[in-house]
Amino acid sequence: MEVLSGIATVLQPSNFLLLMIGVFIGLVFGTIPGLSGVTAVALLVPFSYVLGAEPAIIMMIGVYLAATTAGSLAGSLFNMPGDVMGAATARDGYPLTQQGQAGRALSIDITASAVGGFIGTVLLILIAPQFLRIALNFGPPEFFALAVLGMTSVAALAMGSLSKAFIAGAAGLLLATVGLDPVSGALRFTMGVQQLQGGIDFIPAIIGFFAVAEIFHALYHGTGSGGYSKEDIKKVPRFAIPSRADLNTVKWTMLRSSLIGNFIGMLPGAGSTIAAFLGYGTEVQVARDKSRFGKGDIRGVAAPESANNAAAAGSFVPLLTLGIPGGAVTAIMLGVFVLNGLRPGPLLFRDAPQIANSIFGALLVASLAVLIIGLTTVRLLLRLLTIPFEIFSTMVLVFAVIGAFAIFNRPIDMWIMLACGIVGFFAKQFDFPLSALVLGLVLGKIAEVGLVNGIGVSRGDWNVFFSRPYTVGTLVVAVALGLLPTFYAWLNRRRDRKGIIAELMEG
Amino acid sequence: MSEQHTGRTAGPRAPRFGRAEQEILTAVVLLLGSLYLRLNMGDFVTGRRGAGYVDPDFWPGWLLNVIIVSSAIYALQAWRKRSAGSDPSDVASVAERLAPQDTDSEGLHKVTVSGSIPRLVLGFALLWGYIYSMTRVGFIPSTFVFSLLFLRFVGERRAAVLAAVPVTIVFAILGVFTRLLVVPLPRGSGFFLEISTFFY
Repeated sequence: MEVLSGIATVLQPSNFLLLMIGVFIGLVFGTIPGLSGVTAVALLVPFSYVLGAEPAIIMMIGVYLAATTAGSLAGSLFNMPGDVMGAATARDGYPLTQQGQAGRALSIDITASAVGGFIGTVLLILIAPQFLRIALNFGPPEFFALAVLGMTSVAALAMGSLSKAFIAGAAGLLLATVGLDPVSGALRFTMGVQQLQGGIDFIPAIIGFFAVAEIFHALYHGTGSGGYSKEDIKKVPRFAIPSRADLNTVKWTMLRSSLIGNFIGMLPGAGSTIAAFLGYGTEVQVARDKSRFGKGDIRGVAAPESANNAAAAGSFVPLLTLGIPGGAVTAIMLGVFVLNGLRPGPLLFRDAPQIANSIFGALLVASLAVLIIGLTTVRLLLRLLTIPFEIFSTMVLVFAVIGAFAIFNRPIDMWIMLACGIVGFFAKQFDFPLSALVLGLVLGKIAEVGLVNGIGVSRGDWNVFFSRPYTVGTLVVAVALGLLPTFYAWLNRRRDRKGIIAELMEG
Repeated sequence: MSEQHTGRTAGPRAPRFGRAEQEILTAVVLLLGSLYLRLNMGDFVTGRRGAGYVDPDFWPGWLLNVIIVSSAIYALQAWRKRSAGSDPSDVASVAERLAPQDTDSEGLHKVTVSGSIPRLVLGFALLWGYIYSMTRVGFIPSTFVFSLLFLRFVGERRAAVLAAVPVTIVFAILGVFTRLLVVPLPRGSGFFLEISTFFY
């Protein structure tokens, strides 16, 4: 019933209009390579002043789900994904297009996204209250342990080098220490700049890391849009409706990947990109006939799409129940809550339950809206790829600067955004995971306050982190996650050795 | 001289300062920077020590230790990569291990070397100039000039676009932020402050 009241709130004309605007913005930003849903959500933060927390979050949810879906459209068609998670879908989507089955790829792409978002939201509605019961028992040591879990999961599951992930995560945590120490009041790393005493707010930093760095990266590598002619787009079907046979083929794939994606989304730090690759990888592992994967298997399109949208919904579990964001988009939403005087966590469900219900409602309605709008406007959306990236990049940079300034009306935030843009560009250039950097910045205060207060309440006894059941449980999961890559490396080495021995025996 | 002897394969010569060297340089910069901060922590963290159970420099110090160790490992891996001419033995992620490796990923991670560093620096300099000038001359002139210059910088030559886009951006943002959102924009100082009051 409470969810129904949330849906009713979302369907109010003004909120529904905002959701639709959000879906439209998300589809635009997701489709264009070089722009992303995070960029769009970050640029919308100043709007929350006028709209208020609830309508702003509803609009941002529309952006988030739509951009997650649209990120793979250009990937399936032109092997040019709008974002990294779209690369998983392009592995099979692009070969399908090459075989003249673009309509099939796009229809399953959009449908699987919507189904993933829907299943993820249903799981969110079922799981969040259970999490809430546990969260009420959490104290500073548990929050420290959760921050450790977040940082470990982002490092272990990140695509690439572990050492780079650790550097990025620790650098993000270090950035969060700039300013007044929240416990002792000491000044740290302010370099004599008075405006830095208030610390580095993560929203201008995220705008820099994502909007500015993405634009310069796309310009530097020439990966922006604009290289496609109207003739290319005309080859795409006007409407993309999935066939019954395809839906039958992918129905279990969508369910399986949604469950995986939702679980990954719930881990603080593990985001939609990891979910998309894990969804795809798991589908390849469990499929009886693996021969078509990578050559145009419709299951290879459905799996990552269901997984990443389910992860988007799952990322709201730690945000709503613990006040810990699962990724960059939920970190921005945390900022919007705080800007509007709300604090996500167990008390949100007591003090402002309608906000949580509206989020559930918005996720359900947005999934449906993405499905309908996506299937009916796919060719129109892809026309965006004919617009020169030069114009988009200029507009986004101006919006980024003004957006960073408008949050607190502080010039220092524009400089922070520029600095983070430069750092973000080089981080992308050398494959440092930006998600680890951002998560470190967001979780930094939570981790430090949890650590210092945890030691404080136990009067200097460090055993407090190893004697409380939830803290120990969380730290054990963190250690297990940290060891997972080593375990997989060992498994692969063993498999390779066996392969060599088998070859020698045959020889 | 045989191929085995030189350890190099025939083909185009690798650039003198290629990716491996850049990685080593990045690792060394990170290592030296974090070491400098760690050794001079007292200059960067003020406040009393010993007053509580945890000093204000405990947490940042611990984080810097993580960066120092990780940078050293990264430098070592980059060095080995350069020596071996192949990927370092990084422990790959779970997602990478699960993702199939045999598919054609051409274009997914399209990396070109055509990007020009001086042009990149110029692009960031334009953005720096935009932010700097905005605090001096206000939103309207700085945004107009930046949009125009940035469009030219990224290669736009059509006069109609160069004329229309900056004006559209200025008035669109002006309308959205000052009328719709009622969020003040930078006004600049002196003459520009007076001028800005006519618009917002």
